[in-house]
Amino acid sequence: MTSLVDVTALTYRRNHRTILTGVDLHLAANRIVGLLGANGAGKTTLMRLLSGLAVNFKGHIAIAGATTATARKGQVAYSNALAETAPHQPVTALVDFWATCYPDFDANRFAALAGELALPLDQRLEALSKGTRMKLQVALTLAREVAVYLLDEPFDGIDSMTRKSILASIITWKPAKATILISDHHVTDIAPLLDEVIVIKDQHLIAHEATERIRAIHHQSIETYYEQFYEGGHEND
Amino acid sequence: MTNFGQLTAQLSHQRLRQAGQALGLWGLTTVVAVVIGLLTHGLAHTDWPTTLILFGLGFSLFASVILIVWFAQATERLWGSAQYRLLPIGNGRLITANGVALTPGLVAYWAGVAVCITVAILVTGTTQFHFDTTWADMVQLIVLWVVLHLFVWAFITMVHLLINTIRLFLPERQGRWVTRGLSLLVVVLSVWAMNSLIHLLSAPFDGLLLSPTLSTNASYLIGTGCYVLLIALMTALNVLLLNRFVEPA
Amino acid sequence: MEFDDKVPIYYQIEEYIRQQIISGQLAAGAQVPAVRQLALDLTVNVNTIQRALSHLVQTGVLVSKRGLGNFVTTDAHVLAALRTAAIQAPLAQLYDRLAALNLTADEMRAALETYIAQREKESE
Repeated sequence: MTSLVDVTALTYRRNHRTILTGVDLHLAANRIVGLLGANGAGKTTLMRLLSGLAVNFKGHIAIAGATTATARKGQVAYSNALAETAPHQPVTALVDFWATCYPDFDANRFAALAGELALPLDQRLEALSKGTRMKLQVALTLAREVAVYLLDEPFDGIDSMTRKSILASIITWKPAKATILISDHHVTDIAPLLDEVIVIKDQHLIAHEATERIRAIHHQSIETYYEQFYEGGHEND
Repeated sequence: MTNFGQLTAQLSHQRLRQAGQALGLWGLTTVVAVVIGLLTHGLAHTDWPTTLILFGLGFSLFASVILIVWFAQATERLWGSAQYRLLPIGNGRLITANGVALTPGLVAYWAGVAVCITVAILVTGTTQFHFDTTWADMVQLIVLWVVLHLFVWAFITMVHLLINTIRLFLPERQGRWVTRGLSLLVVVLSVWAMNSLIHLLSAPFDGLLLSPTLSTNASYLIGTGCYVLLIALMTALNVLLLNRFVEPA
Repeated sequence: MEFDDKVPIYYQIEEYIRQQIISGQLAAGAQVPAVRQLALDLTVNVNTIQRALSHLVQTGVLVSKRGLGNFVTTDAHVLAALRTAAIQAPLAQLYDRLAALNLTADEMRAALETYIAQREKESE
């Protein structure tokens, strides 16, 4: 059975550095998956590869059967879209751009999300605080109806109220068959939301486990499970 | 997939807005320069229409350079930002949409300049400026001017993408001087390559272009055709670089 | 609701719903909130809620009515068994701990009576 996200033997090098090597990843539909790893481990790189932003890779990537970068862009919504966007634009101009250029963008979904997340639509992008900017990125991402959503550290530097809003929006607006990949440093923020976790370390994908399995069989919190990969050793029975 | 027409419309609006800003800048600098001239250089009040038009023509070139720089910055944002590179559309169509969008911007700017100058001439009754050219010649001139602008734009984009591609294969910390040296090298080599290509393309026509048997229309078409071909070649290379190597931030 | 991240969440949700039924907050025959609403209320994955509800339906605690949603069972036997099972756990714990302190059966009964009387007096 082909998975929704199919990654085989993925290797990515840049500036004479290997960032990811030999990554095999298969994700089913209707999953919320946590992507864990230290700073610079390659979480963002993996998302850039899945979304089609990073192109010079070896191996195979397919999302909902789409293999070319352009086709995959139609299946994936990536939250880190505003990095180099012209900052003097009003938010409404950006929303208009998204609505015009993405056929899968639903204006009603966005309006509801904007309300839930209390987005100041009439302000300029440069006037938004870091948290509000992240909320905007999440809203633009979730307003598209796609198969795979990639949320890159959506809770980074965010206060707990905003985090709760974003979590609620994720639960509310995730389409039934869609899969969301969320990367985060603070596992505990999102642990109850996750079906599965993936761990990236030393350029490899070293773990892929169902969260309820971790709890039921290992009797560990997801945080403990993740931390064990960074400790000296773990006694295996 | 992103609709090509709608994307082009979005980009065209942006370029038209920039063209409007450039026109505003042009008007402002011209008027300010004339006012300063009148106040400080003791220009006779009867001379100001001529001065206005002369300054106007001069500053229009200055403002057009600024407009080209703005266009180049906008183009760089196109291939350098995730906002555009995440769109489900091929890089070829993305770059073509931008090129198509540049044209109304350029035409609007120069049409604006032409209209203002013409109005100034008519209103002030200045008789020193004559337009001997026909409408057909005007159109040819405009087309050639637009083609040259697009050539410069494609060239700037190509140099940028080449530099970015080469840097991907170097170690991350290259030092400022290595980067500058590399950029200079790429610019020099690109200019040399373009120059050689232009000579190569026009070589078969060299004798013909100066020959009296070939009409100026034909030589104009051949010349413009060469540039259009080069634009197409550079665009193809740009698309290749975007598809295989250059990533946005 | 805070979840213990070391115990399967679906199990804790089942427990939570069973508690609500026993305490009467979810009456017999009452409709259980929709899956997505529960997910929002508890800030949990929809799949996890689904799994918990499915298991509760399997064990007869909830009844699934197509197109209408999930409802608490009206079967008195099931509800009684639920109540009994829920009481068993703290009782067993109390007994084991008092036994570990070497109390006799009579001492246990006396201690429990005294404690109940004390608490009732406090709440007056």
